[in-house]
Amino acid sequence: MSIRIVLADDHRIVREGFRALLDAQKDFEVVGETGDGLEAIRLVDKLKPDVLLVDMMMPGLNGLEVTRQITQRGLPAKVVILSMHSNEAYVLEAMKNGAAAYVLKDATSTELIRAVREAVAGRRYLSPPLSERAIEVYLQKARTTETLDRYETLTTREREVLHLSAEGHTNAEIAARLFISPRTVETHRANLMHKLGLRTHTDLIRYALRRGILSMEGGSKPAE
Amino acid sequence: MKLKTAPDLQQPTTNAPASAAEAENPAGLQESEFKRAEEASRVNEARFRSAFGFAPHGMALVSPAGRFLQVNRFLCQMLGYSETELLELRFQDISHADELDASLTGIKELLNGRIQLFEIQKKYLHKDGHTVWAHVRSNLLRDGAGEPLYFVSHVQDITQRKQAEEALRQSEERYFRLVELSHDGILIHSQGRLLFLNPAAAKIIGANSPEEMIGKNVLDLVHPDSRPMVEERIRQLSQGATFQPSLRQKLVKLDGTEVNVESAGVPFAFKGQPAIQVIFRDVTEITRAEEEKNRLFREVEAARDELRSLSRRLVQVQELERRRIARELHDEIGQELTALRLNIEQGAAAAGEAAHASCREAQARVNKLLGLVRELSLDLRPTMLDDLGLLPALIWQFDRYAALSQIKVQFKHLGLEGRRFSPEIETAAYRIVQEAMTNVLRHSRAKDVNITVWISDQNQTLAIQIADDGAGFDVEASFQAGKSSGLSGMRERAALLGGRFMVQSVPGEGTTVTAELPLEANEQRSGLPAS
Repeated sequence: MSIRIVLADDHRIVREGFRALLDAQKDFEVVGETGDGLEAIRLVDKLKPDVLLVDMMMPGLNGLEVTRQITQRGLPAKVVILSMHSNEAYVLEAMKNGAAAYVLKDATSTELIRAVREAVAGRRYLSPPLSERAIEVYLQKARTTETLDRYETLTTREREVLHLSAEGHTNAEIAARLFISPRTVETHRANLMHKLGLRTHTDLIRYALRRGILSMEGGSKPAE
Repeated sequence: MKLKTAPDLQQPTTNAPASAAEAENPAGLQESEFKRAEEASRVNEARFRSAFGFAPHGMALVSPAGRFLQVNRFLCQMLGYSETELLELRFQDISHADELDASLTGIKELLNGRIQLFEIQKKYLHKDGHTVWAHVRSNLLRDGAGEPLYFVSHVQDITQRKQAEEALRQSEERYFRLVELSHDGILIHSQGRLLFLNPAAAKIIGANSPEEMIGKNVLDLVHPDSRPMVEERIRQLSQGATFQPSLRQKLVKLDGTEVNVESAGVPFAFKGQPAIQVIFRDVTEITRAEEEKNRLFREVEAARDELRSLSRRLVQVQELERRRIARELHDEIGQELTALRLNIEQGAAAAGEAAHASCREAQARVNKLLGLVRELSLDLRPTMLDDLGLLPALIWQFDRYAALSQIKVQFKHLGLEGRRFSPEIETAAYRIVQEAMTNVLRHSRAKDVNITVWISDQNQTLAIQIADDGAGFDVEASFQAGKSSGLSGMRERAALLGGRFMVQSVPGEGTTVTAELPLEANEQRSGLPAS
């Protein structure tokens, strides 16, 4: 039994090239082709192919969106994405939308054919150098930092000013200690208050107590 | 000497009846009656001496020639002489030359009976030389035959009053000198009429001299526009207001033209009458200068707005152009190359073994070309920024950066995952990070760079911070030297979106660049059309 394929790529020459490649496989049958995303969905719906081979970037409805809609409609066709982007973010996006395989356009024909067969067999396929591992690494990077400690966004100077200010030093005293102008101290102070979301000096003291910059007993801890 | 006996003579009132009694009963006077008369005379004499001695002002009996015959203690004190010394002197000796003639004339008139009482304000010379002002009242006593006996003079010390009067006079003189010389117009009016103007006031209203304005209606000088206000201010002053502060108003000059003045008013006593003093200044030039200044300010503002919108437009156009070229390279040229690669692959399969090697080589070249085009495209503008958003684009940027340098990149972010912002925000954020990273790579010699991008929850801003541990630099000097096109560019991008941009750097301690982009204002707007 042959594998029925719909091919969607807006670039005619490329589409013809791929078609020639696919036709060369005895058990592959290209049942439809188009250069338009909406038309691709319509064809998949009508022809009920085993595989949709779709270019990621098409004007109008792009490959990612076509994949998403096919998945959403519960159409049984496996989607193989053809892409020029070897970037994991794109791969991840394609997988999230329900693509079964992601093939780079500069991959060899062998890879493309393998991708189609793997997809039909119900397995995921990523063309090298893409890998599940790389996607895992990317996911790690894209994961939101669980808690962002605002304190960490303070610069060294801002931290110094925060500590001295919490200990009750005036701008002039802080300036003298840090060998900078009182105006600069004021700027640092305004910036750090802004970053920490503090409004008043009382807020600053409260923050310092909460973070342990100041201890309740009155004695000041040294800066971290 | 007849006059020498004067101190023993009785007061005229007591003297006259005694003389009359004597005249009426020259011989038949009984001893008891005589004694009684003598006794009465003695009492009167004592009474007079007492009144003379203890009078609260100076008193003197003065001979018709001017010699002091009798003086009281008060007069001695007033003039600084002892009684003995004073009785050696004539009043002429201690009178100031200024009023001497008038005094002598007065005495003459008393002597020849033309007047009964002579009053004068005159100066005496105190023994120590200073002058003493006195109010002197003198009358002349005559004997039964009408011959002059002596003058009785009452002398009141009015030095203090005179000094006060003099001080007042000097003060008034100073006032008028000031007023005359003042460049500010000063006028005084009462009951609506002009009582006084200084030359400056006359000049401002176009009069030839202050005199020609006296008596004119003050409101005639006020422009109809300002009249209700001026009338109200006058009303308040006449009802007890102590001051009307300086206020702009319009006057009408005598030739009918308008003049802008600033005018203040105070209540004033003029020749004992309640009046109002007005001080005013011609501000036509100042007003014109202010208007000119405002006009120039508006022009500068407009020019700055225009510059800002041009600058914004430039950034937009540049991004659009970059994106167009990037797309073109990636999609069009890239696709062509892909097609070419496929052709070669098919050709190689069809051709014999000899052609196979050269096809392989061609294929390798095409692949390399594809890679170059892709890189070039991404350099111009990474497609994932448009396709997938800020976070993927930033991650890609840092991966690329790590591949290029030894600097360790640590990226933390909060609230970006799965979130899209307006194209302007995404572009600005991406470019600011890119520029900052380029600076770190080129100048900092840093080992670590920490990038933090977070959504500030309260005020909905996208905050970006790039902190390195490198060499640092003098921020102000760098901005001033104008060699900070990178910094200026970042600041400009933040400013265009209404955001803040800060650079903190301490030589030897690294640099921190922070940008904050407000989201709400920019979320709706779309500068770059979605592809």
